[in-house]
Amino acid sequence: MAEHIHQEIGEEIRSVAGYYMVLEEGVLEYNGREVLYLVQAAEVDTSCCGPGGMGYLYVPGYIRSLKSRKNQTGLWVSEVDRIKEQGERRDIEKQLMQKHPGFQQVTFA
Amino acid sequence: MVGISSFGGYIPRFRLNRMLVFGAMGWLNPVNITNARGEKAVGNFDEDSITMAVAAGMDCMKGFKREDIDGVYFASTTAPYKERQNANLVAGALGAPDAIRTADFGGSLKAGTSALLSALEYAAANEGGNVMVCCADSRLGKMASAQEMRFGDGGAAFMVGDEDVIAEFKGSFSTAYDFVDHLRGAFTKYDRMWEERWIRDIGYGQFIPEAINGLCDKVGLSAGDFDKILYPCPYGRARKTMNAKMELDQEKVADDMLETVGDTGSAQPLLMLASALEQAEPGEKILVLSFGSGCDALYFEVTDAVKKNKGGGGVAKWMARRADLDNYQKYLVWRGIAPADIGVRGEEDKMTRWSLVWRNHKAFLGLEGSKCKKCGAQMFPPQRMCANPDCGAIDEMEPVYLSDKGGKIFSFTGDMLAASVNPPAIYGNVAFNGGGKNVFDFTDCTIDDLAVGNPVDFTFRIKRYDPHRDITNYFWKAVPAVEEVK
Amino acid sequence: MAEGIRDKVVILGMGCTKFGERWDCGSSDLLIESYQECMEDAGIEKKDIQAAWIGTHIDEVNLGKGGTYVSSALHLPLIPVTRTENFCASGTEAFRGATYAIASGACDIALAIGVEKLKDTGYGGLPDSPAFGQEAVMIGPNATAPGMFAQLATAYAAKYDLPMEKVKEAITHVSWKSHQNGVKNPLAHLRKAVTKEQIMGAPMVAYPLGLFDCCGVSDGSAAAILTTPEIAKKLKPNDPLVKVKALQISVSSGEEAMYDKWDGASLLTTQTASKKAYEEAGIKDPRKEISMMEVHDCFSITELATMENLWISPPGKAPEDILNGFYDLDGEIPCQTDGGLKCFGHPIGASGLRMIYEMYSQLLGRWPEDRAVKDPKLALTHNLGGVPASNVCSIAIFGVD
Repeated sequence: MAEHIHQEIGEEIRSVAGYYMVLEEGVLEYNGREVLYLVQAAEVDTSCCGPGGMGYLYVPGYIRSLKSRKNQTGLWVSEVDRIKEQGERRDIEKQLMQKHPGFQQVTFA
Repeated sequence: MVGISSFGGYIPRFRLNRMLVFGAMGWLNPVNITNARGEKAVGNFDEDSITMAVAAGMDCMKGFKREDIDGVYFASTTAPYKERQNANLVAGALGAPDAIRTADFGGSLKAGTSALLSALEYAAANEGGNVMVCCADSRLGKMASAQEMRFGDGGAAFMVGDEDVIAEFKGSFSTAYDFVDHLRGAFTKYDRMWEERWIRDIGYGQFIPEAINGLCDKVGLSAGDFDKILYPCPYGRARKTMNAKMELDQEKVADDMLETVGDTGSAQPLLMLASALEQAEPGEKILVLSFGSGCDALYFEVTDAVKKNKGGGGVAKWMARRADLDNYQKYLVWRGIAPADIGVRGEEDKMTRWSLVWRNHKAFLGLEGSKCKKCGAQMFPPQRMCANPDCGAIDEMEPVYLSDKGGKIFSFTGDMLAASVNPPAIYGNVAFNGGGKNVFDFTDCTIDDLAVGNPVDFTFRIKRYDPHRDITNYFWKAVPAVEEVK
Repeated sequence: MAEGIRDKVVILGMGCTKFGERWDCGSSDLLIESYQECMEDAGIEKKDIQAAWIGTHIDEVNLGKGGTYVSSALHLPLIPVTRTENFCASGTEAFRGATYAIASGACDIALAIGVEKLKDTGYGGLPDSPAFGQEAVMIGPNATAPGMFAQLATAYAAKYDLPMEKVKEAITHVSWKSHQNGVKNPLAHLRKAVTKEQIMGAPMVAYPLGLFDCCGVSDGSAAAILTTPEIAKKLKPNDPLVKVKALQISVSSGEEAMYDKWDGASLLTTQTASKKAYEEAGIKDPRKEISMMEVHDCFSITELATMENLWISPPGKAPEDILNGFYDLDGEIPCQTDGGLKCFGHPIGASGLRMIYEMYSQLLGRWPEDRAVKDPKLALTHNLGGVPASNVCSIAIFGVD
């Protein structure tokens, strides 16, 4: 079991190479379980190797309890199960990309 | 006896489902639904007629030595250069010797069979001579056109000679008509077509039977004597009508692969021939025709030698590798049909320095490396000084072609930042079988296909196109070895 | 028999600009900023400088070639001014020129200054000059620096049979640790703290490196004045003096790229240069004797491999050391005490000197307690340029005694 800390929607999380942000949160029904996923965008605008950016989907895992408590900084925390099995990952990736056309990257925690 | 001693085919990996094309452009040309069956093969962004011809040629070369090649003929209606011998690029990639004949054939969809006929004539006139015939096309139709629906990318290659012939050449019959069903001027990018009923009835309907009958008269056979008759015709009903009129057994008329690959232009009859040879039995009589500004009809008889040489397995093998191109817009951008913004980095201007290219042409075109005579180390790029820190011998190298050696993945990545029309850019360090390593771009794969230690083959691809000067530069890339593809 | 340069050169003064998107500054402004602080710290006048070395890599959008730009910008008095370049190790190359001049007795006081002005390219990146030669233009892969360094990760995971998740966990800690340090540094480009969750949730830039595993472009400059121990003692009789204990460079021979022995998971040059540096400095057990380090963390995987290549973490054990906090600010050997390239960005010619500036300042106990290393004795800087299979590595060791 793992924890997922919900970052604030629209907040720029900055690295020296660029930033990313969470645009929206979503839930996918898969095999009787609920998959928590985030729609995120990134702009790599100060890296040493050219500008770039991506829209991508990030999957923390299967939901055990959604936003069950808040942490010290006031952010919601959910309990999730990481998705490790390759077959499940491929299926979920396919379904998510169908649900969100134009996205080319699905990353699993 | 003169004929075909080896053969190969090549079909790019990606398939574009025709309904996907119709889904995008059907609003403008709704009747195109009649052409929207099956799928068409589309080359990757790094493929063109030269690269496909090389792939078919490498397939064909299996079992042959580079030194055996006496000539390379390249046929295409979509060659990248008007002046810079295209056949020499193919010859260079195949590692052919320097003192050979080369020629480019073009001008119509007969170009492939024309090249084959010329190669057969060479073999007849030069005892022991071998000519490689490599043919490929990558034609374009405008968006919403019937041509866009029908055209597919592909190539085929034949080794022609007089030793160990697997298909003996028994005769040909040719016609030449300035029948302009399709055309492209010297500076035109897209195919232009006249009325289809006229093309079907007056063109195919007359010229195909005329050519078949002409050949039969010449060699004293009737159409029914042939085991396989191969001719291109995109009009299914016309084909049926013609077959009936000529009393051709429908079984013997080969599948023209329109619904699985598409119309590959000048390569079409040759691709069908390669596919037929892959399945041929000794004694079979094969009649193959081309259609384009007239016809060439060629008659081959399969020999016992076909049992030993089933070719490189090109057509069936590449068909098995098919993968969906799930996106019509990718095809449009890759083929330069739709303008796309590839970012400031993608616009950077890099000049080609021809004196440098010439000095290195065997390494750049043929993936020629060096092997140290003193310690046996193999390395790329070619070196005068051995890279083995315990050797260091100078000028004790022998050249070695690495293009057909294959290798293993040493490390890799998928890069979202590199300027690419097919992101992520996948590249990695490949350890050559036999020693040495080099960082290659990977192609025709996703990052999930790769793992350190996996075997790879090398494939000849477009390295970069310079749009300011209309220069295409080529180099080799790595591709997961065929057996590993999921 | 050459005896090396140990204890023959002292750093008299150093300066460093704020690194970042310095839209307000051209190269000359950055040079003057670091030069001024450096001269003040050294306590000398311009006429005392007898020779200068400049470290800078990209001339196209920066200050051009040769030595005249810098000489003119700083109005140096008709002295030797040499531009040195060796990819990202250019800063340390400038330092090396000045160091050898002093150690050889060719001059008494020398300036080493590094500068890079990258933000005039018009986009967030380095201009695509043929940095690796024309042959590479024709046949080199369509690669970027993140992608070329990412190669280390797949090779490392394969060599030590580690799941990629473990490697990711370790490099996430590396980036996190650097950002924790950068928060406290007023000169850093990026001073925002990030959590490990934020790092893990970032997109992949070049598998398996994510957004936080990569450094970025920045403008900046750093400078050093070097002199002999005798002159330093005379000018600063009451101050501790930072001495150069070792300076070694190793450049790839082509065997990593073309021969078969290299494992792809390490930097042969780092292993070679550090070994020679320890010998020159008289260090027998680096893991016990080195107090702190600034390494070339252009990519977090580079830092991971470097910990082993510096003979500090045993082969295959860097992830363990990293996750145990061995290299954290409060660990046994604090690494990237100023936040490193992750927080400063990478103005190429300046970075090597920025690393030395941080080690110099720590050795002299100049920083407030929240970012000071307690009681440091020997400091190491590691400056690397190129790509894993073909690179330049320079190692410098400093000490105060």
